[in-house]
Amino acid sequence: MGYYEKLLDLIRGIKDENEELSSSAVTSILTAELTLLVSILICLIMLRHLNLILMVVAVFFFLVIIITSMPLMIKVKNEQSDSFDRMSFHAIIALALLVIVVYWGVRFA
Amino acid sequence: MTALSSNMLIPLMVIIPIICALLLNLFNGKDKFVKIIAIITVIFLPLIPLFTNYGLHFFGGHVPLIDNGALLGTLPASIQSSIVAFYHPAITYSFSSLQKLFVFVLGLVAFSVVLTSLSESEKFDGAYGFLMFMGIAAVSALILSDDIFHMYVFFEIAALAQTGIVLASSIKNNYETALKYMMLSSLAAPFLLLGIALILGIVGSINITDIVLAINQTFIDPLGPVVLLALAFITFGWLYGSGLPPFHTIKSKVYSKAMPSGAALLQAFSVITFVAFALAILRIFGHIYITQYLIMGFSIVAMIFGVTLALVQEDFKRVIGFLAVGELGYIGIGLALGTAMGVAGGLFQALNEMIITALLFIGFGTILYKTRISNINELGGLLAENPKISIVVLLAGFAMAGVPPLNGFRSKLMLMQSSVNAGYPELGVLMVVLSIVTFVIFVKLFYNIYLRPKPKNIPIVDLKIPKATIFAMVLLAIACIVIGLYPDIVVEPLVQFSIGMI
Repeated sequence: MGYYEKLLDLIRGIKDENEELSSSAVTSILTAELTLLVSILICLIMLRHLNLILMVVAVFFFLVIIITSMPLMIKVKNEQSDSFDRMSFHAIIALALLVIVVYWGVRFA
Repeated sequence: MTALSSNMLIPLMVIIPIICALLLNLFNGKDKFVKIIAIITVIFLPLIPLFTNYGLHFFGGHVPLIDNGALLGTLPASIQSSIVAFYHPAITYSFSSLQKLFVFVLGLVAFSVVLTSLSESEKFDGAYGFLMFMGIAAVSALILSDDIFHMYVFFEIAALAQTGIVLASSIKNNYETALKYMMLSSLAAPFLLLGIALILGIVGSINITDIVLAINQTFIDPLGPVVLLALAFITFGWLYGSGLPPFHTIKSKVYSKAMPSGAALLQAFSVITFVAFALAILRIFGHIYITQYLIMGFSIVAMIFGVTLALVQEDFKRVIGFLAVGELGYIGIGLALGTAMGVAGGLFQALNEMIITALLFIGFGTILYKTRISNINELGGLLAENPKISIVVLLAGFAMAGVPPLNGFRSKLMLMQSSVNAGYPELGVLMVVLSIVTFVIFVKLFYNIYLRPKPKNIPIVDLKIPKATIFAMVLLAIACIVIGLYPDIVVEPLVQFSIGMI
């Protein structure tokens, strides 16, 4: 199955049965997918400011994720839904990461 | 007018909207009187900062001890020679070029929003007006205050006003969204307060200038665990107040569940909260190298999520909501770069975003006014309904995407140049990519709403777009063009402020 067909199936999966699948919706998700990939790649390249080897490893790791898990955008959209459970989960994870990065990042850097 | 009497105008930027809010609530039901008070206040709001001299205002007249020789002489020598002599005992408002521009633009947005709101509703609800003006007062206090606890108090008032504005809208599921927003507030706000309490505990003052002084003179350990935890907690509160990830989803939802004119005001509240707290964080914790990376990191994530999630939305209010969150990222990147040009570019972008997003919400709000539909798949062919309004909306879209010669282009170009000069060319590339995608989003929105063949079953209400709404839109559009053509009127004062801050 080609990538485009796979994408269509996934989009159908997240839409209501009665809802029409327009070409505009498909192209929007495709554009968002490419934007997401390009943006993450650019951000990973920024890791060169911290450590060059870390950057290479991160980019390689990301390429593996792309090959195995594409399309990412549908997963991102599902994850960033309006569910309160997910919102509060993300908030708590963010708080934990903030404390870890700031407290231990600065003290032991 | 003496400098002292001019500085007395500084607190009026907060007091006048509060008095107006109380009057609107008090006279709720007396429609004509309420409208007159609201209009008079929004006319004065942008004018006050223009007639106010730069300076400080000490509430109660309590100047720092070091400036009050008579009182200082009566105190023990141990106090006279200590850092406490420099502390600010009063809540202090600081008014400089930054505050002047932000309060002015807030006044401009408030004028447009109140005008639109008054014209589009048959009866202006005093309680709704109360919430709008309390929000305006709260964010004005945020940008003026040099006292971080005072900022927290108004942060909470702004959050309550925003929730109230959502509750007052008649949009489906608004109660659920408002409740979620409040529940997340109960998670984030206590941490913000805890961070402030930690700082108070070690410094003995909540005045930002005093805290910076205590850190610079190593009165406290600048990298101590309490300072670091305070940084993490205050940053977390800032993320909530501004709508940065992980709070971007609820913030965009809040915008989409308010009336369009209300959403125009809410985004201005978010931008000012973002700027006020980001500047406070940078001033207090700027010596910790990770602070800049934190602001930069969350800003980048906001930009990416904002733009990509806007692409896949089908409700135009939600699209603008996500874009508004994404645009905050540009501001954060400018501030995090830490250079005078970067900070000025970030602040310039903040001012532009307030104007552009307000114009977009009000502009697309006319579609909702005429059709009661916000799903772009159900709309189309509305260019014929009102071609002049569609041109203004298109102009706003171009401004947000950074099309020359509009104001968004100027600030984004400045940010791109700053990031390259600061040694982060990747950020410049990212900004270009996301600006192009923002343009794509507008092309899609504009095509779906205005250009494609009109669906047969669109229910168009037989109401003319009020002239006041058109006037408000034209006013904001003129601001976009004028700032785009003459950016120096805004950039020069911001550069002066940025140099002073750095």
